[in-house]
Amino acid sequence: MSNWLEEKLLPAATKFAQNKFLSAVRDGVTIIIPFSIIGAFALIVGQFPIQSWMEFTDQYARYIYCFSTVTLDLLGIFSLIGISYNMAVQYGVDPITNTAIAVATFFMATLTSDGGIDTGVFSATGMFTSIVVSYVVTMVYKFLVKKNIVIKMPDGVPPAVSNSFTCLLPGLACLMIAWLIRIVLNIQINDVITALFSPLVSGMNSLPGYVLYVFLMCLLWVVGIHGDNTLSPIASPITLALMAQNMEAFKNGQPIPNIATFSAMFVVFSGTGCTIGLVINMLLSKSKRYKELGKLSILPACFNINEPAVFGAPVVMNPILAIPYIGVSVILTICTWLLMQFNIIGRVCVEVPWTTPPIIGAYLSTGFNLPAAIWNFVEIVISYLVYRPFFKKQEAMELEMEKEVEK
Amino acid sequence: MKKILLCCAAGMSTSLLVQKMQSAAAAENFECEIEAVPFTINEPKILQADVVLLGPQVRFNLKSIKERYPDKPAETIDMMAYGMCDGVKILKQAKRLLGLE
Repeated sequence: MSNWLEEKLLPAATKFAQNKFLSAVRDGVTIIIPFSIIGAFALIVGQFPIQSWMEFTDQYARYIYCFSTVTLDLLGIFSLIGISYNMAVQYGVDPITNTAIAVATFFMATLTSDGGIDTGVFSATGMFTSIVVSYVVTMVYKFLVKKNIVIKMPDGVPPAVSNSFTCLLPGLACLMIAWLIRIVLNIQINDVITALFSPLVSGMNSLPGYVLYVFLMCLLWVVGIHGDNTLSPIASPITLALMAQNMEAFKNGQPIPNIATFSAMFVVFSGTGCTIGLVINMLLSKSKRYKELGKLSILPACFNINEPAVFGAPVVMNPILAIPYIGVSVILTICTWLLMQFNIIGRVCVEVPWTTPPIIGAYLSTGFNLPAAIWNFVEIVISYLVYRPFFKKQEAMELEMEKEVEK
Repeated sequence: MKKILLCCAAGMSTSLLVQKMQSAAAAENFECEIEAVPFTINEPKILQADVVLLGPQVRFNLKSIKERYPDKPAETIDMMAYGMCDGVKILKQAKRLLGLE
């Protein structure tokens, strides 16, 4: 088993994580998160669950929600900027020029039928188109530079001036492509691309798909690779799009449509693998090393950081602890999904920083849902119980070793 | 003054190490600057650093660092030392890469 992990999964995961296209998407969407949190903060202020406060904020809605208008309603643009910039970095063309061309091309590709700018795609609905446009633009730019099809200035011209001309031809070429498809052939590019990605979205937004995602994430950590980060080029655009719909619904006081947005606050809280249970077990351990590691890990765990526990226990390449690590994550994913499906607890509809402490994070991210916060506490207990028998076995080995050393 | 750069996914877990390494450095009177950053686009930081150490969970980035900066000493931090936040051991690794040990 651990051979298979090391010989098959590890190289495959490494290849996946090093892929230039996927790296650019992963690094690009990270720019969205802070803006999405700013927007979410406006929602928290506007929807704070005290009757008199909500009556008060209702009158001042436009003062509050403008912060979400310029953040949440522009997530597609942020992803376009982030991804096209990082595509340029990955493929070795000038980042700022590439970004500028991508912005123009994106607008061209999404023009309305009467040639106006479509502001609808500025939000998360334009997310997938932003990925495709960024990639195509970068490839065209790179191709032209490689073939040396750029406008060159005579030697005496200052580099800054001549650089400003290098983007002319690539820019024109990209715009022509988008123009040909969108205007001449009259194809709704955003609709087509969104339809192409939709199986992926609905797959992720289902219980089996979400369990598979969590399972893979944990499995990657077991071989010592940052699972969340590695899967994020595929998972983040989807969950961000689902989250944007949820936040919109929350703002308007409607029922929350999507479930698959809860992993951060209900599955990987205290760190991927819900290692809070492992840390508590370590704190109570008789082994000196584990007790020390427990003390070292508890504070980071409160902010959802668990590298000390994962590498120190270790969970990595250790079948004994890998079983509860993956097991507890799958159990919690299934339970949380069902609780949200049947509306026993609230769904995640507010983006909070991933370092928000457990329970508080659960309460805030569900738009002040108390049952969700209570469930989050129950999850900690479940985590403790699932890790316990496996940890005991691990601890016995450690104690034996400590005894040997003392002798 | 030698600059040691630690990289991980968000710069959070490596920041736990910074203090441990600093006190290890102070104990042996080794003057250095230690900083933890996220790996994502940190070209200027990597250029300035004398040695780059990667968190094991992002060790797949080592290849691209080696490709882009062939002369920059870079390595992945030992997993166990990383987990136990063993500042002494990791500082030793950095010094070895710097050719000081």
